[in-house]
Amino acid sequence: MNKVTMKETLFEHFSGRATPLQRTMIAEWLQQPENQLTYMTWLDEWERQHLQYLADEDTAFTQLSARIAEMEQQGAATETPPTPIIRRLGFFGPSRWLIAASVTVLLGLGTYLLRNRIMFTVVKTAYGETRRFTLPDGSDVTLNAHSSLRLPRFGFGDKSRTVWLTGEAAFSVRHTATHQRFIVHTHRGLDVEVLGTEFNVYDRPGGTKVVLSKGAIQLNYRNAAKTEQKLRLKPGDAVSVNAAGRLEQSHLPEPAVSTAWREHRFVFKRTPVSEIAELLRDNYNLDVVLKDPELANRTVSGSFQADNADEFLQVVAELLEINYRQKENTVTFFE
Amino acid sequence: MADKQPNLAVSTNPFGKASGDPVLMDPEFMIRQAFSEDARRGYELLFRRYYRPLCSQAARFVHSRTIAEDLVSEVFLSFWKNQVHLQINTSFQGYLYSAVRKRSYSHLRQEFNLDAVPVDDQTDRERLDTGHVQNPEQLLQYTELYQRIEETVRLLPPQCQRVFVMSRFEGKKHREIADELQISPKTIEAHLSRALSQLRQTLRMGLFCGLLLLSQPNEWPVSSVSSLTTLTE
Repeated sequence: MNKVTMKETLFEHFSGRATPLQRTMIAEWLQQPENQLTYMTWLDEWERQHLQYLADEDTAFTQLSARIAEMEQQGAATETPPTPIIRRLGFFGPSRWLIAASVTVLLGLGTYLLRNRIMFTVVKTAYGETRRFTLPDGSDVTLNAHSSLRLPRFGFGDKSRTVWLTGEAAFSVRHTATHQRFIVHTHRGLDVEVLGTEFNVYDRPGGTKVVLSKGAIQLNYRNAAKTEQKLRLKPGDAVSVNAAGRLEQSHLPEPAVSTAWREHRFVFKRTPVSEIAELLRDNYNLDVVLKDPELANRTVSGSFQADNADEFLQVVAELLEINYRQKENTVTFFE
Repeated sequence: MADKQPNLAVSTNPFGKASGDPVLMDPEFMIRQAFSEDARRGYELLFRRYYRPLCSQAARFVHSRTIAEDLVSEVFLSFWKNQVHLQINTSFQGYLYSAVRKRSYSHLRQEFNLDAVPVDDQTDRERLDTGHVQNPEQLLQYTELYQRIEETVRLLPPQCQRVFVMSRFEGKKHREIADELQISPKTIEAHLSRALSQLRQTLRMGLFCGLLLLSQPNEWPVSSVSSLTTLTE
C-alpha cells in the first residue's frame, strides 16, 4: 500500500468521510503494530490542521506547574529528611568554614565551566550523517554531515529565537503569531535574520554561504574591520563571504537545489576536483591526495545520488575516469 | 575561484522536491534529548508541543473547552507523577493521544451515567506496561465515536445547536446566552436538555449496538461509582 494514499485515506477517516471499504482497509493495515503508531502520528498531524480552537497553553502550563509543585511538596513532607552530612563535619570546628568556602569556590568554578552546557543544548551530526528535527518553536532543521547547531536550552521561542551553526543546515522557519525574529549566527560574522521562511546556510572552513528558497531574509554582516553591512535577499538569491571577507551576491535559477543534500543528491557542473576534495573533507572526514597535480584542473559534471562516502567516491571516480585508493582517512586519486 | 560555490549539492530529480517526505524525521528528537538532560525542560517541551492538539482532540468528544483542558492536564499530571518518560520507548505522541481519548470517553460515560469505568493513574500505567498499543479496532472506534458525537451535534436544529455550543463549549452562562440570542432562560434549558438527550441516545446506541467495545478486559473491575450529571445544573 502506497504510504501517501494510505495517509490520505486516514485523513478522510479522521474527518468521518471514509467509506466502509476504506475502513476495512485501514483495519487490515492496523494489524501491523508499527502502523498503530503511524495512525497516532497522522491523527496528530490531522488534528493540528483542524484545530477546534486554540487552548491557552501558557495559563495551563502555569497551573499544571503549580499542581506539580504542590504534589511534590506534599510528597517531600511525608518523607523523613535525610541527615545532612555537613553536621558530622561540624565536629571539626573551624574547618567547617573552610569546607563551606571551598564548596562555594568549586561550585562557582563548576558553574562557570558548565555554563555553556547548562544554558545551551547542542545537536550534532557525525561524518556522513544528516539529521532532521524540529525546534521547540515548530521550525524545522536538517543538519548536514559533520555539523552542529547550538541553541538556548531555556526560553527558546519565548524571548528570542537564536541559534549558532557550524557546518551546514537547511532551515524551514515557522512564522510566529508575535512575529518573532529567528537568527542564525555563523563564524564569519554573517548573521541571518528571518521571520518565517526557507533557506540554506553553509558555514565550513572553505567558506560561508546563504541561499534563500522562499520568503525574505535579512543578512547582517560584520567583517574583520567591524564595518556593518545589511542585505535583504529575495528567493533565489545566494550570498557568500569571499576570501577577502567581502560579500558576493549571485542569483540561482533553482534555489531549492541548494538543499538537495537532504536527499543525498549531488549534481556537479564543471566542478573542480579541489571542491570535490573540500566536500569529502567536510562531509566524510576524508583527505584527498592527488598523485598527479594536473588532476586538480579537471572538472566533474554529472548528477547522482550517494548515501555514503564509498558510493560517492565510486561515482566521482567514474565521472573523472580515474582510479582511487583509500587507506583509512586518506584517498589517493590517480590515472 | 572568484565565484566559488561551496555548496555543490544540486538537485536533478524532477520529482525530488526539497521538501519531500523526510526519511530521518523525528519530531520528538529534541524533546527526548531535553528529557535525558533535564526532565523538567523535556516535560515543558512535551507539554507545549502537544497541549493544543490534545485539547482539540478531547473537545471533539466532550464538546467543552474546560472539560477538555482539565482532561488533558490530568493526563500530563499523571505523566509526571509516574515519570512516564522513563518507561516509554516508542513515542510520547501515541501514549498521550490514547490516554486523552480514553479519559475523554470515560468522562462521557460518567457524565451520561452509562456504567462508569474509573480511569486513573493506574490504568494509564497499565497501558504503558502493554506498550500502550491498543487493539486496532479500538483505534478506529475512538475515532468513530467522536465522529458520531460531532454528527449528533451537527444534526441538532440550528438554534438548539447554537445554545448548546455557547453553553457547553464556550462555557457561557445562561443569562449571557439569553441576552445574546434574545430568548428566555426557559427556552435555553429546553434546548440544552434536548441536545443532551440526543447525545445520551447516541452514546447509548453505540453501546447497545456493540459498536463500542471499548472497555478492555484487563481493565479495572467496574465499580459502582456513582457518577454525577452536572450538565443541566
